[in-house]
Amino acid sequence: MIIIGLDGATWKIIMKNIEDLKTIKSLMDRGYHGTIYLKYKPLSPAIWTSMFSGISPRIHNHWDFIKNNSLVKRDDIPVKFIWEILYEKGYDVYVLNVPFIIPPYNFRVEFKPIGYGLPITEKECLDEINLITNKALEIIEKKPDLFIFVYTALDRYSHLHWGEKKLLDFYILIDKALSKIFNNYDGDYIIVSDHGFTDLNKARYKTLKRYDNIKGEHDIDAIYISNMNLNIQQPEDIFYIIKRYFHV
Amino acid sequence: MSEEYVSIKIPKKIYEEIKKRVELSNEFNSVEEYINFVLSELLKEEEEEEYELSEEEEEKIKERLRGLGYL
Repeated sequence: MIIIGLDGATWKIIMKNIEDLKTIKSLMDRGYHGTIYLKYKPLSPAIWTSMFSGISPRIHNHWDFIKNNSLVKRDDIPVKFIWEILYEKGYDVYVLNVPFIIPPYNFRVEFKPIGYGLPITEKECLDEINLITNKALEIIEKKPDLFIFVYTALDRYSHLHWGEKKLLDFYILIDKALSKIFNNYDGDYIIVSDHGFTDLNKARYKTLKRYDNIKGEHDIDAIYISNMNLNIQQPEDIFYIIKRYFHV
Repeated sequence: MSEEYVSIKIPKKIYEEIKKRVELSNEFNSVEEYINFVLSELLKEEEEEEYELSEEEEEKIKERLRGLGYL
């Protein structure tokens, strides 16, 4: 099984431009998709942690990349992740670039992210897509039992370019990356976002401390697409789906 | 993949030492369980690719977080 994270992906962009997003359209046509309406503040560190630990953010309480002026580390977060559970049971699992901490987290993967996992410039954001895709293809070749990887730059791009044609162009690049992945993989998959996005003026939550040049803001409408008919109400459900899938 | 098992030999002295610990612990039911736990924890630690950031690197990350409005 592979889980592909698209940080901040939303149907608001996808549905309006579905004819331009050929891979996503084809996956949706052949599989199942839905919206995960978050019941808590749409903050990436909290959601990725919950998605892969099954623990609600109110319990693990990991909301921010920084605590007491220091970067939060994996060991500061009191949860056991699904990849740890499966690895202990002997499964071949890999994790690439999951941004519940900065730099994003890897498990059994050697990877140096662009800009410490915080791509900012246009070039960095574009380069991240290729870097992640190439590394992902390398790992897919090993035929892992479970492989989780996340494209993070879509979140930055959505903050900076919400409402611009450029954002659609970025979605198209992600769509092409997905095409490369699925040309080399035909097993079970879940594509999932940690939260959606909306116009800054319509946002019900403020997730940033400063808003210079920011046009988009997180929203509660996360997405999922899968070849499996799943009932995903909250990010935590993904943990239990993986657990059941592997009978652990 | 499913869970398969293999047998390995360990020195009797170590076995006895672990057995004592298992008897004293409330967490483990057998020497095998204890060894499995310790080895999987050890392997897991080695597989985590998180490395210690230097102060300079941590500052650069904070700078980026500020640039993105997170700080």
